[in-house]
Amino acid sequence: MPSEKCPISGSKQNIPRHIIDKAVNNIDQSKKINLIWLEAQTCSGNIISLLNAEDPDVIFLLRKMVNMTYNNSLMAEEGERAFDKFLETLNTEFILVVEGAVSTRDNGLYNVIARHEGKPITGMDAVAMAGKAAKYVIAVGSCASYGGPSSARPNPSESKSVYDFLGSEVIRVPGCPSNPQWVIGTIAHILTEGKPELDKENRPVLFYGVTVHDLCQRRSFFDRGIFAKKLGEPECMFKLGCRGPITKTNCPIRRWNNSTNWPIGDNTPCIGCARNGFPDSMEPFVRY
Amino acid sequence: MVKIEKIVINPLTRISGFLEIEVTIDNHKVVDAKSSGMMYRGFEKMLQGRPPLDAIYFTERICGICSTAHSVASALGLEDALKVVPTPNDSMIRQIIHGCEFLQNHLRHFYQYTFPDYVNGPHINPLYKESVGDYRLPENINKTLSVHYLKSIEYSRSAHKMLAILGGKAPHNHGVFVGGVTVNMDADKWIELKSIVSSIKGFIDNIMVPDVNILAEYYPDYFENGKGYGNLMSYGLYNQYIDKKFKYVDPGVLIKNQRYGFNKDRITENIHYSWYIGDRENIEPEGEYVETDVYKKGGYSFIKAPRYGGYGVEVGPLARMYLSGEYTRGISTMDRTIARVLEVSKVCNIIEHLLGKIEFEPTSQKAYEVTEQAKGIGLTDTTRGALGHWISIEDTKIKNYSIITPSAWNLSPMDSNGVRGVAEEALIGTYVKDEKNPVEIGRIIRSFDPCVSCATHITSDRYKDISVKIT
Amino acid sequence: MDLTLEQLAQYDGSRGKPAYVAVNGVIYDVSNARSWGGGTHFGLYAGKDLTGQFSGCHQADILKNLPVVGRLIR
Repeated sequence: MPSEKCPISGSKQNIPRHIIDKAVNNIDQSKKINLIWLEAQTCSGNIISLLNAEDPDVIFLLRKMVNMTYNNSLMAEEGERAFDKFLETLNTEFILVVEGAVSTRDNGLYNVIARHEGKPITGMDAVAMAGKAAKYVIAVGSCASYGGPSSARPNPSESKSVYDFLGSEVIRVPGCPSNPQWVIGTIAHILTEGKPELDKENRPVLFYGVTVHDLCQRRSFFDRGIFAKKLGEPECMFKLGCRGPITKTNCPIRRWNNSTNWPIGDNTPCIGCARNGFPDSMEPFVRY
Repeated sequence: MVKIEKIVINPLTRISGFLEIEVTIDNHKVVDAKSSGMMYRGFEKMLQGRPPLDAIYFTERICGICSTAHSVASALGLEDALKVVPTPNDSMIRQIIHGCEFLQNHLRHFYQYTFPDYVNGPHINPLYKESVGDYRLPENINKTLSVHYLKSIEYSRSAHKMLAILGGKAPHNHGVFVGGVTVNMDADKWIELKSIVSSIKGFIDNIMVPDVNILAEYYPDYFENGKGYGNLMSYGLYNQYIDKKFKYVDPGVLIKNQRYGFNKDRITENIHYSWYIGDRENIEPEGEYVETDVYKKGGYSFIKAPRYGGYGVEVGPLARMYLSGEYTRGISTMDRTIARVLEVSKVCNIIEHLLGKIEFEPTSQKAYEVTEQAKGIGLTDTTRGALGHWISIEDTKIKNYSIITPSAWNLSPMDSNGVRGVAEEALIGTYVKDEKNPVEIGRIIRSFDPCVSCATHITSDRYKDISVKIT
Repeated sequence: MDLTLEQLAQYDGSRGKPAYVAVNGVIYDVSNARSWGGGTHFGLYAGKDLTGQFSGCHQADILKNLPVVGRLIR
């Protein structure tokens, strides 16, 4: 719906910024939905990537869009008081973001995220508790979405994706890490219009609708059979192992770090970091 | 009546990864401490059998905030194994990339991870404590510093933007590779880098350095705690240069107030109190995988206990600033925090100087041959301290891969000789004012900038057993 | 062009060589097949007889658009 403030916003229906503005206009600041950003078996790259968000940035997200009650990396509280925040949120309406895979080996003891009343709370416990209480469950990053590097063969911690663990609906926002625009854009959509349109892997079509190959700046080289023989060259890197043809993200368009650059722009192939099968099935990443 | 109490802090938030700290307090003093790494994925096991060139992008995924550190150490290890030498220009560009990770990390560690212990704000959930804290700043200063917390986000983000210009994306860049870098340097990228680093430098020198001095002024008791053994180590950083503008610190150690040259053969790892099968003492970094056992009797951490010549040694910004002679005021919680801020200013200067030296040349990447058999070691100091990757290749695949991270050095458990980990030792003797609100503990631990996703690894057990008697 | 297994091994898609795979006795050229970047496909390398792996994953009709090189011979 076009905003009365902007005459051309009607033509920008499909980009996240419009949706974000709408989100902000529609949200009553005192009734921001709660959000738990639970780090499970993760490198924590997704929360770091979130800190790289620009327009909107992470402060906009926290001030204007959601009430983040719990996050291991950013929250001021520690220990029992911190985990109490997690528990209190379970009794409210909240969005659960999980980054990292769910470690199941030895009852989850390969990923302990808190201690409560003397007992260890595993990532597995926390995902189970919050997963069944959350209004939406969003798996951010490839580990949460598909198992990712945390579950790489031979998977010593017996980790799995959030969906494989919970079995209930999970929106996947994969990437290694996930691009903060995909995360914030998905949350913005949820806040305004509810669940976005998802593909058969439950990824928002808005960000994961088209392959990297079909949007790539070097596509004309591929089409004419002109290939790079090593990294650093300007031609198509298909013969070096580029996974662009089998990976769906909008990386060629939105790129990374506020559209600064992306792997192909840095003369290296796509390694399929946002898809099912990363990293095991995407190797070798570079092959001469 | 003397009161003895055990306090457990889990999660110890505002770090990278999952750490549990247990302290025993006797009449307000910490008499025992345990540092526990509470996560394990098994990267060294995963790397076995994989294509060697994949190690660079793969090991980045160990950690999201210091991903570049692993890419650099991995590239160095592979270059050692495959006998590849980057050109000076590519090497300098890679050092700029590495430097950008320092800028990002130290800004975020100081403002996002450290500040909430000393500054009450900004009032945005979950960035501030609703509960009572030990906040001593006058209201106007507290307000100003809360604004700085928010401002810092732009600058740490810009540091990652610089990284992306050269490395494609951050976290988990693509530009660091065997042979140097993949980016073709030109005036367009160069001037963008110069512009960004100049603005970051302005923030660091005009805001961040004064801010740490404010913390030091209002929390001077933190110069009196968190010392630990006082042993320090560095593998060297920006030490290929002689020119003072580029050089930072040579490899070296300080043990019991004596300086020694660094000798990598003195590095061992002990698993006595770690959740790994066996009790082999003084395991050396190269060799084969050791299986985990989270139910091991006596074990309390997934982090192993690296030691240098049997000593617990601290690594990180304070070790570097001290060993280089740039900051030798002391070793404590506050000294560690100040050193980190002074270091980021120094790295900023080094980046500017490197930008002045690099040429607009294309990369010198080649189609590298992976030999049937090879071994290599990549040692470098990085954001949190000394990092090492040990790689062995057999049948053109990775046979073994060992990683010892800075956080393993700093956050290890006790070893079989009864030598506590560095951070554990730093907690001993701490005066805790209020057991219900033991703010001292988290402040001391965070001064080490823990990264548990990095710290939890395995090592090997192929070579000799050295048995050590505990008398 | 008919090839033995040993000859097929040359065409593994590395260093500018074509990428051929054999399925059910027929050799296909996957050099430009989208899912065969760098001559590899979900952990498999070109230059081999991949009949077993193929039947575990795909229906035969997926091969019909691939250029045929020849037959796999003893």
